[in-house]
Amino acid sequence: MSALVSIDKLTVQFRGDRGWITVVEDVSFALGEGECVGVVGESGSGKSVTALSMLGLHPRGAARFPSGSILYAGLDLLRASQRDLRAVRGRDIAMVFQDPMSSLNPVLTICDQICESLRLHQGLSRAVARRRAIELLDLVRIADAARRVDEYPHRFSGGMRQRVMIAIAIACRPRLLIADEPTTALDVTIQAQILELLRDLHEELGMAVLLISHDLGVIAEFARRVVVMYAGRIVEDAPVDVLFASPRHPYTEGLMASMPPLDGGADRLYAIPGRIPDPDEPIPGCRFGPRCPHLEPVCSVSAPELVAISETHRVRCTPRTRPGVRG
Amino acid sequence: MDPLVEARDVEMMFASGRSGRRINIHVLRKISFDVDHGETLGLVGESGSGKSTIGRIVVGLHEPTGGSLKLFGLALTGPNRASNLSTVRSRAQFVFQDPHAALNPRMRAGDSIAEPIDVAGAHTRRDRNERVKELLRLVGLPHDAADRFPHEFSGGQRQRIVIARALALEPLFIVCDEPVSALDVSMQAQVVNLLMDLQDRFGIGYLFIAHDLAVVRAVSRRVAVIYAGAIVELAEKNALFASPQHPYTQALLDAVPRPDPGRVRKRAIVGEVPSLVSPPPGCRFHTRCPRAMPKCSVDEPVLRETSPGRFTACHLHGTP
Repeated sequence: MSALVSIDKLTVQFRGDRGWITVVEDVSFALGEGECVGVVGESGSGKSVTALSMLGLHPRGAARFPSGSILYAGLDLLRASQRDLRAVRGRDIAMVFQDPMSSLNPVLTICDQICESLRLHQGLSRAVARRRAIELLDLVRIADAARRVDEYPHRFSGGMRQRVMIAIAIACRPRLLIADEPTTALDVTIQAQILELLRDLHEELGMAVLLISHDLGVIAEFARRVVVMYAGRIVEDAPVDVLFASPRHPYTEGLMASMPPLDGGADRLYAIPGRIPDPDEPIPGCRFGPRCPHLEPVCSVSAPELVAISETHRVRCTPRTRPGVRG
Repeated sequence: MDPLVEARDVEMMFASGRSGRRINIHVLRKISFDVDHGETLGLVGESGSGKSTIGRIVVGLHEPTGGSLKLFGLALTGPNRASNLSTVRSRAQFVFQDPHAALNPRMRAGDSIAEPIDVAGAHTRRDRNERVKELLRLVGLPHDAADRFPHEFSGGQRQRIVIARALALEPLFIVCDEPVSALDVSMQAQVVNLLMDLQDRFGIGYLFIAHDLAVVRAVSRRVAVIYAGAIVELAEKNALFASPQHPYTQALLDAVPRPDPGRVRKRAIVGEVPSLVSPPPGCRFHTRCPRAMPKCSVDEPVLRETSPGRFTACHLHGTP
């Protein structure tokens, strides 16, 4: 599988009160054509920052990239001109955001909002774009599309708005769809519907999907490969079945153990002690060290490297990736 | 001993719309349940199902428009509402969903926690500060947290402050309205464990409102499932999760994503929660129910005991 987008040693810094703060460090992974990758992590792990970097959506002047690159079709998205980025955004790489309530413009009709990218990228006329918008609403299973296309967002429920957001994102048949917590604001039954829709569209249109979520359940149901992030770094990267069957990083283990089981079991929940560090908090060695139940002296000496323990499995943990204990 | 909460056929109507075109929205219909001492009753439902309204009614923030409600054996409906409410109010507390909005950003954590004590009076300044320290210790925060402001805490720590404030007057009953849904998984587990420890220690009863079935299962003894303003199923948690009777409970359980990549998924149920302004006739779930019968769109099923301690409102489980 050839890489569609490859992120290499991405480091992102934000402007803080006392200089630049590193929020994402040394993130490298590649997305293949038509691949379905999940990024999981808690708030502040850097998963959204990574995704926003791919589209150059950070506020100008507040973020910088001291190293690394994001290559798409020979173009480094981190250093591309606004003009080049605009050509990629919405056409080749599209994004669905978390909050469908605030992502749509309340004073434009659904039609206007879907047609915007169609007219910009494909130069369609108003009438043709409108017909295409109706097709797209049909595609995302909105009933009575021909009538609803002229309505305003306030007439749509949360789940319906997220369907509209997806319709906008897939309007130009992107090769990569980034879905940043697309179901977090929705109810469970609606969440199941939206995930089903995304899965169907992924199969029908053959686009790659990068799904960002804090919910391991959502990731397990959707992704083929999972990238686990903690405090701005990738701590584990593995195919989904391998990750859930035998997680190697203590943080991944902790995340899985702290999910309350739906099928009974222990009365008391496992909780990872402590809390996620602030990005500017100095921690010697491994950033997960202070919360890790398997801490060894070596962990606080030097920061662990992301080591490949098999062809498809990478782990950032010094004790777990020592030669001899691998496997 | 009376149960902590005894709700019988509680009804709630809200008026909506401008004068002249005012309509009444029937938000809750015939809600009946008990919460016993030291027990957790879980209340699960989707947005707009009325679960938060139940929580607010139970602590006296809304007056129900019908039915009867007793808190600690005293009626919160009828002519003695006001006097009974002032008797019981301090022993029933509330933990809100969003710990960012539930704390005054300009008040130090210690003052927020002590506010119920100050309102209740009868504490000297020294007692008050001692009590704040004790409360902070109970919820696992360092005692110097009292002098800090909410923005200096993470979401999980803020929720601990909110819980400490709820504990200030030694309540017997706390309504927890989505207390962990704004938190990350690892923080969520810490706060859930804290709530359970406090229950073991002080015998507090909880009405635990949430949309996350897994969390509800972890904390509750019994669970009530609510759909469009009515309880559709109420049972002991293991029975409910192992063999749900109502098709909606089944659908909810099927919809929860599991951390099991190999799981064979069932198709998601179609449709959305109906509008309460114009609810469908008969069973309110029949528009989405995979097992709907002709009868379901005509007759509204009532909640009845299908086996001891187990209640379901569905024609599939009705006795003729």
